[in-house]
Amino acid sequence: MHCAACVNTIEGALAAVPGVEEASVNLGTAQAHVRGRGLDPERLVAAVRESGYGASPLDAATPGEQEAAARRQTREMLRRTVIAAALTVPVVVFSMADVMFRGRNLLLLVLTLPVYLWAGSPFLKGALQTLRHRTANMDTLIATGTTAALLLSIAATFFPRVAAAAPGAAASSGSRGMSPVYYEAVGVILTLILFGRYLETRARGRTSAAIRKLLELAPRRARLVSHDGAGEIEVPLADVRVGARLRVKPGDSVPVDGVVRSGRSAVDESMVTGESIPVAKEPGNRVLAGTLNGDGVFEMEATAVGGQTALSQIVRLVQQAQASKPPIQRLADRVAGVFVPVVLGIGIVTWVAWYVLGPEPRALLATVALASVLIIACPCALGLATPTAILAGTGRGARHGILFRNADALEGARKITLVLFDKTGTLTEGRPRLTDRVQLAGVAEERLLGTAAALELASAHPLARAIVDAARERGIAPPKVEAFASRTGLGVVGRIGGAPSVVGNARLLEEEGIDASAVREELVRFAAEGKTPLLVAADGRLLGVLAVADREKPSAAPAIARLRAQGLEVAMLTGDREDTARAVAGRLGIDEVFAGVLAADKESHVAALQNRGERVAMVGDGVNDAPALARADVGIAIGAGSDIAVEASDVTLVGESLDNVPAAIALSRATLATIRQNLWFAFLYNALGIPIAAGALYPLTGWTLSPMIASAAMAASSVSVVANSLRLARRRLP
Amino acid sequence: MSPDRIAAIAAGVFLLVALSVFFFGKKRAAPTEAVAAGDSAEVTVVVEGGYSPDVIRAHVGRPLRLVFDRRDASPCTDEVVFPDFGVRRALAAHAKTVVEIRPERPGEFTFSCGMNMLHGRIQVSP
Repeated sequence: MHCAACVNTIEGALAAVPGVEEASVNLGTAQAHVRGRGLDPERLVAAVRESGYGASPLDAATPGEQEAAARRQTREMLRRTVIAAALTVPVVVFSMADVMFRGRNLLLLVLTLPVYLWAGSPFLKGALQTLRHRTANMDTLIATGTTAALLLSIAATFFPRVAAAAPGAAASSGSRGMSPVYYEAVGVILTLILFGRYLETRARGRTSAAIRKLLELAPRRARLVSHDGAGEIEVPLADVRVGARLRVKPGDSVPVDGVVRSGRSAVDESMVTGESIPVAKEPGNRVLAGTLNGDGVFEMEATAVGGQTALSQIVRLVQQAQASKPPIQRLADRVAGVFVPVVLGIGIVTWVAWYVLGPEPRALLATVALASVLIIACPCALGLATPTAILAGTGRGARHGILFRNADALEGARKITLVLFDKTGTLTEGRPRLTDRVQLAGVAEERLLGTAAALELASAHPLARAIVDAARERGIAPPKVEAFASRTGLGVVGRIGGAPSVVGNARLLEEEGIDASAVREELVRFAAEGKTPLLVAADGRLLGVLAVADREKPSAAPAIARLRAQGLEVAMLTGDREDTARAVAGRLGIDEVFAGVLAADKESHVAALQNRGERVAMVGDGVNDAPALARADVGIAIGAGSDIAVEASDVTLVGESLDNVPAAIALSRATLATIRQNLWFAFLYNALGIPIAAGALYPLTGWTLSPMIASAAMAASSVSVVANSLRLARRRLP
Repeated sequence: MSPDRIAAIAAGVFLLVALSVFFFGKKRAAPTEAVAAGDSAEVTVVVEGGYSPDVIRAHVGRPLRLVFDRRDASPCTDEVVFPDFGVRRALAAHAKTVVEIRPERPGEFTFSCGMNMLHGRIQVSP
């Protein structure tokens, strides 16, 4: 498809298909949108092919449609539950009240049959279909259990004498007044299980709600600024291209990732980064799709659209994590794989044991025990234990800007003993700023900063930018420099207005023969505070000292305090000198410091800590820390901004704030604890429930379990597992 | 022991053997070759209490489009999971859902329902 003519041809071909009311083809996205009644995608595809082009259905169901389908399914389940309950209530009343009249059993059968055949049809159909594949699932158990109870009751209804004469059935009329019928059991079992499934489906929908909410963040339309820059047109999001200029008005959601070109505003990024304070945006700043504009208006240039936006990457990463399984799930998987056939086997053994060893009426009690075993067994609790917890846990994280790569990362984060931070750009802002200024008597600020900025303007040193920025912020225009020279490891020299000027460390001034003794005390103090002093001199005379430092993030100290409260050791890694590093560590409350570490050696420091027996979480920026992040037991990349899919990391924190480090660890601990609770519950439930239903307690206490109680327990068990997982979605993070 | 009890034991043993053969016996299943469609290979998998076909052959490097045609509404088939490919996808009832995977090394990879009760395999050859 190359041109508008092709578009017309295809639109014509689609419009000719019966039922199509509107067909529009988008050349840019190569997608066709068709609206109409009773449409068959395959027919539409065939129509396009016949017109000489290729086509295939988009992911047959979009998330929206899938959700609608799921809602319909839930409603249908509720309808079945209500009707089944309405039919079952009279059956239960007649049975419990022991009301006797001619044809009672026949009436009960008439009321129960629709419950069994219609309300229970999903189970019956499901069971038959799985048998065709020679596998078995929940449906097999429910269908077999209820069918056994129903057949027993039908036999007793139509052949009461045969039933009474059958071996073991003789005493039954004594206990039940008439022949032994279990219609109420069939109705109650199906009603309760349907209701349980209804609750379960609804709750499961909530566990994956986080992803849906993320997908809904991006608006459907964007305001495209017209070429003259004055007007704007609203276009569907799919038509926005990289490079497009878009306007974002107060209260709008940012449509795609981009860079602010004009205007100013504060943008609420909490939905993507978890940071609660709106972030100020001015020309040159990056904005992310799905974030919410405050009161300002700005224009932005799109830099990433569609699947390339940070939001889409987050969604993909979370979906991927949700598909993975932690090692802890493997046992549960093995059990689930053989669970149903084994339970069917236990059912057979139960029936035979009751028939051979049990008291009269043997055939009846054996069949009831069989039904109870099949009904109480719940592989769903086992199967739901892990995935629902992971869905809820990773979803909770995503809403907070915490992205787990996979389930192993969740499990790894739980076990760590030490958190190792990279200093620059992780604990600090990664951008040195001017922090202190010492002027000698008679020297104006303008002179001091102007001289320093003039010389540093030509320097490539990272500290230089801090000085130049500071001068610019104060409106100081740097004078012109001649004969500029950089003295590696010392500083820079040049001539300003004919006067020889220098900016650099104490050694540079010493070499130049300039007396710096007037600021000796300040130099000692700056070193102790972890600041880098720059001495400024002109005409052989010291003008003053400027101190530059990379400021710690405001979130650093509280985050470290929280990690220590979680019982973790905290260490720091930096290329800085020992005294500078110690000063920063002291302020932040870090006791172990590795100073003077070259970027290439970070990984070996992680390895050394691991050899000491620590399980290390390394927190870094994900770019130059990649090898160390990969080596660590858990690599946490921070401040990824729009570069979400940091390959080396196990956990990605979208925002710059360090609050999410303790939050990520707390969340992984909570998720793993939930999985563990769920698995224990599911195993214990089945390990106790099945023997009790089989009558294991009968020889000791005379207890047996009615199939109705069994069905209530079954319905409650899977709902409790999902409900337990849902607690994660509501959990407060530290 | 009365004859009916002996008969019950015999029937029980027979059923247990039948059960294990039925569920755990060797299942003969010829792999279904995915049909080439452009650069990728495609196969439609009907989801109805299980997957048919449940053994699919694919080739390294050629993207495999699996069109899951779900014809039942049982919660058991709600999701399909490819653990080796990091894919967990919800399958809408009575609808088709496309899952695309890219086999990058030869071997046998399983896929299953969300609870690992229904299974299928993808045999990837070089």
